[in-house]
Amino acid sequence: MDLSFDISKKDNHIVMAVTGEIDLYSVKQLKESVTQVIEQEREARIIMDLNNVKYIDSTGLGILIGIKRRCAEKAGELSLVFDSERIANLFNITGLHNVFAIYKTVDEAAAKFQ
Amino acid sequence: MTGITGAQQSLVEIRVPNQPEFLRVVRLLVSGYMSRLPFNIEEVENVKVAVSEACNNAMQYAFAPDEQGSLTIRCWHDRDRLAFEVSDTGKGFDASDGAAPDSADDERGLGFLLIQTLMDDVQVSAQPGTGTTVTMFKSLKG
Repeated sequence: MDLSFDISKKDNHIVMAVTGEIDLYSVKQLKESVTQVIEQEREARIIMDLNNVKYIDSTGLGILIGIKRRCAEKAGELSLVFDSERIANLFNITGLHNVFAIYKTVDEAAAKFQ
Repeated sequence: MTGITGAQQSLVEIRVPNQPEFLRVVRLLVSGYMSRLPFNIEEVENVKVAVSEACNNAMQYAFAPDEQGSLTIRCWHDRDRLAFEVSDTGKGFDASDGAAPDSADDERGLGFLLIQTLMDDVQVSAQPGTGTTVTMFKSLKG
């Protein structure tokens, strides 16, 4: 199963909901989709909803770091949304929970952009 | 099979091409094999990540770009522990020169950090020209 994306533009940010498994095979698809979104925005404020991501590996984590950097370069920010303890554990092990703004719901993340 | 004796009867072995599209096949092997054993879902998911990361490393770094190769995944268990072993037919490295993927500075290091954290014991053996073997163990609860 490939990744699928549901992208919605709000007043001052983009919500990108990802569904599927992010691994070495699918990560290129994620990178291309996010790059398209970032290029279209003057300020890349992105909320990435990972609540329907069942699996993510180190290549996926690596790409998220790259996306965060790209957003910052465009005067924006990347916020992540997930409620999965399994995914949270991977962020904790790698120390990336200290790198990303992480929320449990899209509404919580969006409130930060208001 | 290193580190476990008397496990021959439980051995399952598959070989997959060094193409990322086969990672899901490997993860299915992990969940299928572990479903017979007393592990909970979280433990199965953790082992899936670790074994998949070992395959990632092999697919990304063991072979020249566009080189066709294969990975062999073996799993077995005895009363005390479960083992997954990922071997590639790639270029290998000299394990004595400190080139083992033990750094978290890059993606490879990130993957190996996950393997080391999620499994109970990890052994890496490699020699230039003969490929690399990563053997990962998980204790079976009494």
